[in-house]
Amino acid sequence: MAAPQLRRLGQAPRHLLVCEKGHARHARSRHAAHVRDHAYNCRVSFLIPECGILPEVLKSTVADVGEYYLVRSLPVHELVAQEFIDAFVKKGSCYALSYNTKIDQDNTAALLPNGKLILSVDKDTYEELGLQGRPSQYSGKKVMRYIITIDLTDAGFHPDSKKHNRVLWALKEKKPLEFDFLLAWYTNIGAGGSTLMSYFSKNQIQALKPKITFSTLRDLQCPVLQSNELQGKPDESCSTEELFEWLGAVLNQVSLDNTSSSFLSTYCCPQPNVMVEKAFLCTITGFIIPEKIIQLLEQLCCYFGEPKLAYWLTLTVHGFADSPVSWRESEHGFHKGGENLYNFVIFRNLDYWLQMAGTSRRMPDIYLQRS
Amino acid sequence: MARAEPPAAAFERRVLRSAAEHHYLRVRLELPDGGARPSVAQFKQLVVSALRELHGEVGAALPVDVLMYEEKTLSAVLRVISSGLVKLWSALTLLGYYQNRRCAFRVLQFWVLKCPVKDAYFFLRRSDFQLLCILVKKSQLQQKLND
Repeated sequence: MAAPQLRRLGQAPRHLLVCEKGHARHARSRHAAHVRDHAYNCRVSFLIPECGILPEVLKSTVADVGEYYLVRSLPVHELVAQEFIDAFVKKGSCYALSYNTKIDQDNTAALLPNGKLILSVDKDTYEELGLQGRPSQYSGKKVMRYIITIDLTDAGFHPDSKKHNRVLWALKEKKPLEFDFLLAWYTNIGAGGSTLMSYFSKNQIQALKPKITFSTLRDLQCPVLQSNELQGKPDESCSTEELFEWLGAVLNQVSLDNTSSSFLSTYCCPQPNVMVEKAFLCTITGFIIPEKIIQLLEQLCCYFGEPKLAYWLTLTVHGFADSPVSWRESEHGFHKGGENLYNFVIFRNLDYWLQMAGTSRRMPDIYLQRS
Repeated sequence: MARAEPPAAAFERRVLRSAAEHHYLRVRLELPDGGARPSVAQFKQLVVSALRELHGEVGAALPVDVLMYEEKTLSAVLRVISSGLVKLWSALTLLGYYQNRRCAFRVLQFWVLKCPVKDAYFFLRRSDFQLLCILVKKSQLQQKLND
């Protein structure tokens, strides 16, 4: 009996890193689609080597990331109300995510820009609600968690339909659910902030600004990368995994110049590397919608429009660890870390690398099969 | 960095399943107030001694890096090779004393690459290992009651 137990000591939890390369200006490039598919982002940071002062265009793009809103104890049935659907869901991209709810313990709710309301609820709540759902992928043999998906833009979901009435009754009378919600709304016409504010004026609503920090890193060791070599070449360029680890170290302010005999840490910058005099690091935290990240990505591509010393730059986006979905509508669970993040490396010739990380159940199959 | 620009990259995808060489843990050491706080070297020594206590000399030889250590909050980021993750985690969980004082390690976060988060407490979870500890304590209590 001991042998299998011992073998499990050497096992690590499974995880997945998908790396892609392509060209940002290619007609069939899907890099923007990947950004759009990842709806809930809590942190965006970009690192530009050999850059001391941020260009004005980028600075204004960063400042324009936009407000988001926090509504305290909002009943979920208000998101299903026809006035709300007509005013926001059908007229733009409406993002909502329950705040301070833990995906492995609490009930959580999220509204995707395509009009799908996703409720991730425990077994008791599911049975009380009486709405149709499916067992969660993360609950194991004994199902303790269910996912309910309601399509608010469905043609059959109009105020007189049985389905609409049933959902409203379930959320209003049968089992009233209430969450603090993070809200953001994006339309082509303009910022919809004031409309959201006035719509929820009865509730406690607060407009919040993303927190932006700038810093300049001095004498940073940067790995040498070659855009057409994802796997890297010994003595010529570093691989995507090495870059990924290095980036984590830089964002955490870990020292990069250790020796292999050091007692404390043996981590050092991957070989080959170059010493960069200064690098610019900008971090934005808040409830950041994909549309703004696409704008930022576009501006970062334009950064190389003029000749620059930097050979590449990176853009890292972290998703909420506790959101019920990660990419598209694929279910997200916490497991041991809840990480769902992606990272872009933009090269001078506008080639890009995209790295997407998570545990293997979290990414839609389409990302794994298409090659 | 002056080099000839290579031609535009063709689309390529690599899928790495559980291929990461290392895993990372954000941990916090909990000590009763008022005592001396360990320096970074003492902290590393504590981690090694925890490994030795549970897994013996072979366990103590496991390469663990203290990537970052904050003495003020007693929190650290550890790096360990993937095959040693469970050993490290279990050793940290079962460690109970630092210099004859009660102590406990809390694993706040575990990740492959993760950003520093200000309110790291938000991520505090009942991990499987903590559950295991509760079970162990329960069974010990049961035994005491039976005796």
